[in-house]
Amino acid sequence: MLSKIKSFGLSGLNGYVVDVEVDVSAGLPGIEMVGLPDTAIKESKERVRSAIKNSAFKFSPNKITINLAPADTKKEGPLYDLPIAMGVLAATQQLDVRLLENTVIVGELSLDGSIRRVRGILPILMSAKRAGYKKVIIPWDNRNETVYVEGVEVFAFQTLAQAVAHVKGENAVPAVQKADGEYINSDTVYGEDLKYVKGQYAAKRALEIAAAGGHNMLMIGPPGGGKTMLAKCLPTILPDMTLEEALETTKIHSVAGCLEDDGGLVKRRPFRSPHHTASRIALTGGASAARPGEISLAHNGVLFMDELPEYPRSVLEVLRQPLEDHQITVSRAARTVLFPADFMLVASMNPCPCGNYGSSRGECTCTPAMIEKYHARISGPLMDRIDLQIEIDNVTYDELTATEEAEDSATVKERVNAARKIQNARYAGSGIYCNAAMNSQMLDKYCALNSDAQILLKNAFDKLDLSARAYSRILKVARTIADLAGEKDIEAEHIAEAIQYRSLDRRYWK
Amino acid sequence: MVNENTIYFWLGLSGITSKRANALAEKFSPFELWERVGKTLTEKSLFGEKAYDALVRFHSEEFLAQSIDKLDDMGISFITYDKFPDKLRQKEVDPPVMLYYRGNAALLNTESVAVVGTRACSAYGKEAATRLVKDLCESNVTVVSGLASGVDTYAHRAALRADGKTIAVLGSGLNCVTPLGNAGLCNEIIESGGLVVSEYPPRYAATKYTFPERNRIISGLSAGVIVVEAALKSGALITANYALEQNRTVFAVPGNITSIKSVGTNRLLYEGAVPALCAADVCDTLGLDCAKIVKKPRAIQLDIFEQKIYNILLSGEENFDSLVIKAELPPPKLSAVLSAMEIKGIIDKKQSNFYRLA
Repeated sequence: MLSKIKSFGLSGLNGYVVDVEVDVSAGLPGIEMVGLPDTAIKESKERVRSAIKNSAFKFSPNKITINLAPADTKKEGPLYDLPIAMGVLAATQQLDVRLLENTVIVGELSLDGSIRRVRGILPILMSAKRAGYKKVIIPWDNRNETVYVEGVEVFAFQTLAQAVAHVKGENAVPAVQKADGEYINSDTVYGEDLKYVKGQYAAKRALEIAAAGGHNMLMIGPPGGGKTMLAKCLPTILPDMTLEEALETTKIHSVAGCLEDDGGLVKRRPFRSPHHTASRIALTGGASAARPGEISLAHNGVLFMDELPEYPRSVLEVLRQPLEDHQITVSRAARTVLFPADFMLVASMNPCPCGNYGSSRGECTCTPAMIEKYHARISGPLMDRIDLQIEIDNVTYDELTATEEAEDSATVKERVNAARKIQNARYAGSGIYCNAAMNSQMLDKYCALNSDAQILLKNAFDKLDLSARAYSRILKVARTIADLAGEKDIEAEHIAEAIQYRSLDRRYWK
Repeated sequence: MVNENTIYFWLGLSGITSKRANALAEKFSPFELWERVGKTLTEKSLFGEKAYDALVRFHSEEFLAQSIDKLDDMGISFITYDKFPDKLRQKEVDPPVMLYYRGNAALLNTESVAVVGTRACSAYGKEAATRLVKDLCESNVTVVSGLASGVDTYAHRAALRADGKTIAVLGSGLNCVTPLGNAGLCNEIIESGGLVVSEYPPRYAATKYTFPERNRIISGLSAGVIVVEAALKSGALITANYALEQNRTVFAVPGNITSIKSVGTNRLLYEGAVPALCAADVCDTLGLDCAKIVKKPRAIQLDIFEQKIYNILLSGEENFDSLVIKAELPPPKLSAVLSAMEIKGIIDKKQSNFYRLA
C-alpha cells in the first residue's frame, strides 16, 4: 500500500515541497530510505519505528520503502520524522491518507512519540502559504512563530498520537490562534543604560545618530575608554522594529535555530558580536547546509566587531559586498542561496597597537610604521563604508565620579524612534528603511543643500583635508541629524556637525 | 679644453671618497689632476684602487658628456664642489665632490635650519616637529632634513603644508628613495619647489653606513640643527655631533625625563645644547636674517557661541567633554560650532577630541 504526504524542505530562506512517499510491501522486514537523505534523515527510521510503537500503534513487520521527492535535491534535518511516521501509519491503513490532502506536515519525533521543535518553521509556513496550502501541522513548541502569518491554518501537537487523533477527527483541536491587535515591540529591561555612561558626550551623540539613521560606525580610542560599554548601550536606543522587519529577522533566526525559548517573533533588533576568532564562514554563512551567518543574523540589527583590526583581513573583506548590497549570496557546490544582511556595522579599534597613540593619558610606544601597518589592516574600501568615525578618550576621575545624571536611554530612544518614523515615511515602498541605505539617486533627491550649507561643505573640504569619499557620508549623516532635529531641509549647522564625525579623514592620522 | 665643472664631475663619478678627494684638493688643482692621473700620478693609494681605475677609465671628455646626458634623461642635475655654497665647502664638513639633485638648487644658498630626530617618534615628537617647522617656514627659513620616517617625514610634511622651503638630503641614490614609502613625499617636495639632494649616484642603494655619512651634509647645509626627539642611541645624535664639529649651533627639544624617546635630547641639553622652545628663539640664537613674514591680521567675525569657545580655549586646549560643560552647549550644537571654527581656521582639532586655538 502506498501513501503520499506533503512536507517542506528549506533552501536558504525559501521552502520547497517535498513529497514523502511510503510504500509497504511484502519482503524482508526493514526500512529503505531513498531520495538523497542526509544522516539525520537516515537515522529517522529508528526514531519513527520507536515513536510509532510507543504511541500504541502497530509497526508493520514488512518491507517499507520511503522516498523523498524530488529525488535529486539533498534533504537535511530531522523535520521529516513526523510526515514519515504519518505516512507509515497511512500505508499500513491505521490512518486514512485522504484526510491528509492539502496538509503540510513537519516535525521531529522522539522515541516516546512526542514531537520536538524544529528549525525554519516560519519560512516553511510562508512558503507553504505561497504554494497554496491551507493546513500545516507543526510541533507544539513552534506555534509561537506562526501567529503573525495569516491565511494558513496551523495545528500544533505535542505527540504523534495527538496529531493522528486530530486528523482522524477523534479529538480535534482548534487551529493555533493568530495574533490579535498590533505587533508590539518587547520592552526588555536592559542592564546597560546610557545614563550610566559618564561624559563621552560626542560619542553618545554619535551613537544616537547611528541608531537613528542606521549608520555604520567606528569608535577609535585607547583601551579602557568605554568603547565596548557604549556599544553595549546601543541596543537600548535602537528604534523599534516594524512587523515586516521583525518577520524578516525571525525567518533568518528560525532557519538558524536561534530563536528565543518561547520561539516567538524576534521583537527587538538583534545585536550580534562575533569574536575576532570567528571564521569567514561563521560571518557570511555557508557550510554544506548553507546556514545564515552572523551578518544575516544581525539583519535589521547591529553587528558589533570589537577590536576590528584583530579580525583576519579575509574576514573583514567579506563584509564589503553585504555592506553595499544588504544581502549575501552563499554559493556552495550543491546550492546557491541568498540571505538578507542589512545590518549596521559598529566597530571599535585602538588607535595603535599599544593603544595610547594620541591619548591624553599614557605614552605611545609604537613607531609610525607600526601605526601605519595597524591602520592598513582595515582596507580603504571597508573604511569607505563607515559613515561615522569617532574618537573616544579615557574619562577623567572627575567625570567618573560626577553625580550629575546623564540622559537615559529611554529619552534618547524616543528621539531615535521619531527620526526613524520620518525616514520610514520618506522611504515607504522603496525597499529601504533608513538614511544609511540611500542610493545616489535618493541622495540627490533628499539631501539637496541650500547655498549656506553648500558653501560650508566646500570650505570644509578645502580647509580640513577631507577625502572626497567623505562627501556622500557627510550628506547622509547630515540628513539623519536633520531628521533628529525634525527639520525638513538640511541646514548648514547639520553639515557642520556631521563633519565632526569624520575623524579618520583628518590629517593627524597621516 | 675641459672645464673645471667637468673635472669635478669626473672625480665624483669615480666614487672617490670625500676624505681622499679633499686631501687631494689640498695638493693638486683640478686641472693638474685631469692632466696627470694615469700618467705622472699613478699612486693608487691616493685615490683608492677602485676610484683610480674608474678615473683612468672615465678619462674622456666624450664619455663624461654622455654621462651628463644620461643624468639629464633621468631628470637629475648635479652641482659640483666649486659651485657649493660656502657653508658646505668648509673643511670640517668634509664636503663631497658633487651632489646629485632634483628640484630647486637655489635653496642651497638660503638660510637653513635642520630639523632631525628619531624615526620612532612619539605623538609629542610629531607635534613638536610640526609646530617648529611651520613657524620656521613662516619666518622664511629653509628646513633641511633627511626624508627618513618619523621626525624627518613630519618636518618635510609640515614645511610643504606651510608652503615653505625644504631640502631633503638622502642617504641613498635619488632613484632609490629609502624608505620606499616616502617616494611620494620626495616627489611632492620636488614639485612644490623644494630640493632633494644626494651625494650618491642615482641607483646607489642605501646601506647602514650611508645614513650617518649623509648626516654631515644635513648639518653642513644648515646654520643650526634642531634635534626633536632622540633616544640615547639615535642617528639624530650623529647629526648633532657633526654639527658641533662644524661649529653649528645644536638645539634640542626638551622632553619628559620619563620618556625614553627624549633621553638623547635631554642629554644634549645637559651637555649644553640650546633648548628649542620656539622658532623665534631659534632664529634669534642663530642671528638669522629672516624677515618674519607678518601674518595678515584676520578680521573674522565670531558669533556669540564661537566667542564663548574662543574665550575658553584662550587658557589652553580642552577636550570635547569639558567644552560641553564649560560652554554649557548641547553636544550637537557644540559640534557644529567647532566645525565652523575649524573651517574658519580659528581652532585646530587634535587627536582624542582635543581642540586648541590655531
